[in-house]
Amino acid sequence: MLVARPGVTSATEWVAINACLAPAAALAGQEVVTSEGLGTPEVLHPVQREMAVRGGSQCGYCTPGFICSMAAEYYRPDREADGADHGEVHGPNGFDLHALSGNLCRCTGYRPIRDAAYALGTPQGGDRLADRREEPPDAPEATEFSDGERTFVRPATLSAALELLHRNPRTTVISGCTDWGVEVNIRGSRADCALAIDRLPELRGLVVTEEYLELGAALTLTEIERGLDGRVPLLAELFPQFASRLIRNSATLGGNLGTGSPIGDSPPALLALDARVVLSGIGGEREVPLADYFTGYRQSVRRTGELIKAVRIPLPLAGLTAFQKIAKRRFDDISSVAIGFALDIDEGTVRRARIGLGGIAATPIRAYHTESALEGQPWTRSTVLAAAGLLRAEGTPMDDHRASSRYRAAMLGQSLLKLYARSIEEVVA
Amino acid sequence: MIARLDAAPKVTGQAKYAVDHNFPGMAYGYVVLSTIANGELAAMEVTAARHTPGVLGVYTPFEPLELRTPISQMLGEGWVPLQDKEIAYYGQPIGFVVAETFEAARDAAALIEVSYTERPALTSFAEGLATAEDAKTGPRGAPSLSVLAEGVESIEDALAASEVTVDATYETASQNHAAMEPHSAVAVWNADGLTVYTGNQGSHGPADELAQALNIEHSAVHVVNPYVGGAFGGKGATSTPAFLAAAAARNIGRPVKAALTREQVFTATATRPATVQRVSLGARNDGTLVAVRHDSWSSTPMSRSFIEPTSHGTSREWYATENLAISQKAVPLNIPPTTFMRAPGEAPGSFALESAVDELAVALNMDPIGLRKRNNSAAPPGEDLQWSSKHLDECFDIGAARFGWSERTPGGRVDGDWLVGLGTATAMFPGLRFPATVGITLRADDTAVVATSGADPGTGLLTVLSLIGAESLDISPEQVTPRLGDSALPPGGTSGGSTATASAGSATMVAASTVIDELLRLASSPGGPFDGRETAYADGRVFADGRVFADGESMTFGEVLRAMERISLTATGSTAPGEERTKHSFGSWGAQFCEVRVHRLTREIRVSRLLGVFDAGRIINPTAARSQLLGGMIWGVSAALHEGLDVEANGRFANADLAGYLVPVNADIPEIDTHLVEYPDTLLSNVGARGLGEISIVGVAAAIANAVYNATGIRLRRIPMMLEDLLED
Repeated sequence: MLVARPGVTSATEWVAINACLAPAAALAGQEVVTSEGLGTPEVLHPVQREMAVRGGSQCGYCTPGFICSMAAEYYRPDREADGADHGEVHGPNGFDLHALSGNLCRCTGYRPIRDAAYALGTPQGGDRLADRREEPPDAPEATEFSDGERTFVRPATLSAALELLHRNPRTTVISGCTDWGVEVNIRGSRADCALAIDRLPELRGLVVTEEYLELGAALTLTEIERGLDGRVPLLAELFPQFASRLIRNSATLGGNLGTGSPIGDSPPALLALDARVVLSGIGGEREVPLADYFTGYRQSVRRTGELIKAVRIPLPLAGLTAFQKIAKRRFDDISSVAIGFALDIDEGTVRRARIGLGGIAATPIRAYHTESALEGQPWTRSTVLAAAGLLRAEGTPMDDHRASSRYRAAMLGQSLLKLYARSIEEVVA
Repeated sequence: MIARLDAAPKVTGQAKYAVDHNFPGMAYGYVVLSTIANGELAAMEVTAARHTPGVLGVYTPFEPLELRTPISQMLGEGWVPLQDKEIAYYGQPIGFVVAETFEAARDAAALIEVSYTERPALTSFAEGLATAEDAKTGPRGAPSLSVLAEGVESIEDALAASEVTVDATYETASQNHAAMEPHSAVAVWNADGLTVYTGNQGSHGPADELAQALNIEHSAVHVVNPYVGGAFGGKGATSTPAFLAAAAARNIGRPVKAALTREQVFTATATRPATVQRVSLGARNDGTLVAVRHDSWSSTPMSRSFIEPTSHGTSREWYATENLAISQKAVPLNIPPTTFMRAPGEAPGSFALESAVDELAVALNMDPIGLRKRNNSAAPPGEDLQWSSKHLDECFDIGAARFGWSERTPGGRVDGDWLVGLGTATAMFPGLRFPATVGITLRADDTAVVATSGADPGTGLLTVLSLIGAESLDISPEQVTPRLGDSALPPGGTSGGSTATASAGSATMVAASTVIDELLRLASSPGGPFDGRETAYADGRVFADGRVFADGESMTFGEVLRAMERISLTATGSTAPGEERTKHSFGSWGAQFCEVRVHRLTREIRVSRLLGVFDAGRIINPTAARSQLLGGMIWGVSAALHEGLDVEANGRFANADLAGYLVPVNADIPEIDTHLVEYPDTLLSNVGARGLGEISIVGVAAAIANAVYNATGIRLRRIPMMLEDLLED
């Protein structure tokens, strides 16, 4: 479905999110449009017309979801046509194909669906949803719903949220709901009290100082991606590989760290960036290096009653960075291995190395041995080969149906070789 | 023009699938599944569940809903839940909770405590091979069969005498149809009987099975499914929710809605079996095949519901060879039921056979296309019946030219960090049709209804009916209203075996000519507008004096009916496979082309280009045909790279959801194209179409594996491919 959200380049943007993961209560006071609201069989919306004409709908069961994802991209204010078809990246009309990566079609009509997406024009005058972008969206209301047994609370301020969390430590904190929503759907999980923090203004800042970049914990990944606009190359490399646009439109950085999953995609990148986590409780704030944050499988130093407020990335950034995610499916897949690299190389010598790893231990980890082996050494093939040998041995990867431990270990080493090959290419270029 | 008639309701969210139907007083059902793979239910403690607020009924094998075992013409003996306490697989339906809301039913279901008398479960296919048994004789004949040249004693002798041989074993994983619409039903009883809204592949079958299961008259059951969210063979049998919702609705006297959750779909329906296949090929140095041996093992549940006929679906028919031996074994395991899935037999079978042919080409140092063309068959080995219409060589020629096959080198090429290879494979799917009856109603408003009970689960049959109906009635498609998905309609058009177009299409033609004859008789009958005169029909009009010409004296069929004060005129037409099968063999053919890129460091495999060229008879709706063919080819990519059910030792599927059971997303799909050589096959049916729902998946996985070999020199013999299989030590 489409939700009116504050825009980056216009007052409102139409954002596509997974309806199945969004609690209805979290949408109170907000404007929502579904495929039924875009057009009718008699008067099709342009997106619906292209899908119908080009055979993009077969059994039709996935179609409304594709229509919404496609409509969000149709209305993206900074979508610019350059007239060139970039195949799997974007169409001549500027349509970013990543907009559809979160939708599955089992008739696998992906080519006619792409044909439809790439044939879309720009919204014409009088288009209700296009005009709507000029006015700010309705802000989510501070609300409290209760059925007597269970409560959903959306407080207005961070202090109110912390107060509630302090009073009732069993509160389930929810932000984008892309993790908890799955728990609800698959395991039938219930929260006695669900606390929505995703619209708290204190958690939604994107601040740049001399010393650091601060990313609010409740910013969606899409908001960070668009707000940074490539300013942190390592994150710019991470975001397109993080689940799918549909998930990134809801998922937050705070949530990704808060769930503490060993296979979350952001920790390896943030570990490489030496990120620090700002934790907030009723007693005040404290800052913890992310490298010390995880203590065990889905365990962290975050105390009961504390919320992640922000993530701080120290400046200046390292010169050579990369994020590598190895997964079976191109997008919307859990990584077999994820690796973040941030290296400072000065006059051919590695001055500082930070390597974050995911998917190879009970928590995301730093590759300390490899970092030490690189630091102070010349950035040469022989250094890299030696360090790659160490990197293979970092962590305790498992065998599962995605990959064997042998493959995971091998990929750690290969990832450093891949980074080296790329850095040489960059120098040559 | 829109590509299909049902597109507008689908793109606007107006199409109502089974669970979109709601009725006053409706209750919700939730299915409970077993958590062991072999044993017996000892007890089910349901007190807490029964006392959960909103719960209306809790049904188990200890307190069952009465259901009788139905026997279907197409599928044999069926299975109905809750009738005994035996557990034969993990995830077997063992209970049903009905409540005022879905959530109440699900929460109550979680409170049921089940105790089992557990027995050791056999869940490993590899271990089960030791106790394999001969497969039962199925629709494709005896499990073992051999054709030997005169004077040849055995296939072993033929292989031993061959100048070049290859011999390898291939593995394919168990798969699930994973249609986007989970199996579901809404059941409503009223004075006339039972109506069940449930997605299926032809509503006549479920209506019959439900009538038997519920022990009521066939005429009292009405099954409706105007929209079906994908089927692929997985909705041929009546689903557990349909049986349980119907029985529970009768029990509580209220409509009941039930749907499987995504996770439940993986075990409470049925899957494609896993296979192991050993293929031995013997050839002369010039590439002429002299011996083909293909031994297959298929996993099957303890009920032996279905085996994957991989040898029969491929080596039995594809290549000319003097000597052929095939065998099919079944490996019974404590796994969920198995059933047809898109190109059953052909899809996994072609991975083995077409990989082996590529291995033979390497051994012979021959071009893989040249090798295939040299062994092109005019008829299945050992049979006299020639292919009715076969243009496989042309498919290869067109494909090779379009794909740039001549630029292929034996060792592939390198593009930056990527190793690039090209591969090819043959595709084949039998040309079949099923009995079908179609009704045509001419209406006084000059429109016509073309109706049969079958389904359009995304295949495009609805639009095909309107196009063939319009052509047969010589009117415009806009005048035709096609109807499907209702067991009250004449039985036909079942979605299966790629038969619907040939079956329902040919019956439409018969119905059209019958209704036109009736119309002409009516027009010239006493009191008719052309009383006593000769009449002829063209362009939707009845012409006087049997002469059709512009400005001739004529009336539209609607005018004739109005003149006769008739609202409508209806006739049915029936067709069935028959004599043609004693004169020819029938099959669709195709050539698959694939380019892959393997990363030299990470070994990630990307399929970068695909082309399929197919010979599938006449094409009725080119846009929908293209979508179908592309979809099948992408299924092939998915089978090669992604799809596979992982069975844990206790029989649980480790990846029974769409996060773990990977199907492709848009970005996994490369540059992909199709081409059709169109030779109408009127020996199969008057329509000339052979159907194309399945052929395009066939051969793709082998083409990918062959391209990977071309790129890397590594032969992958199991799918889905694991990246570590490409690691170099």
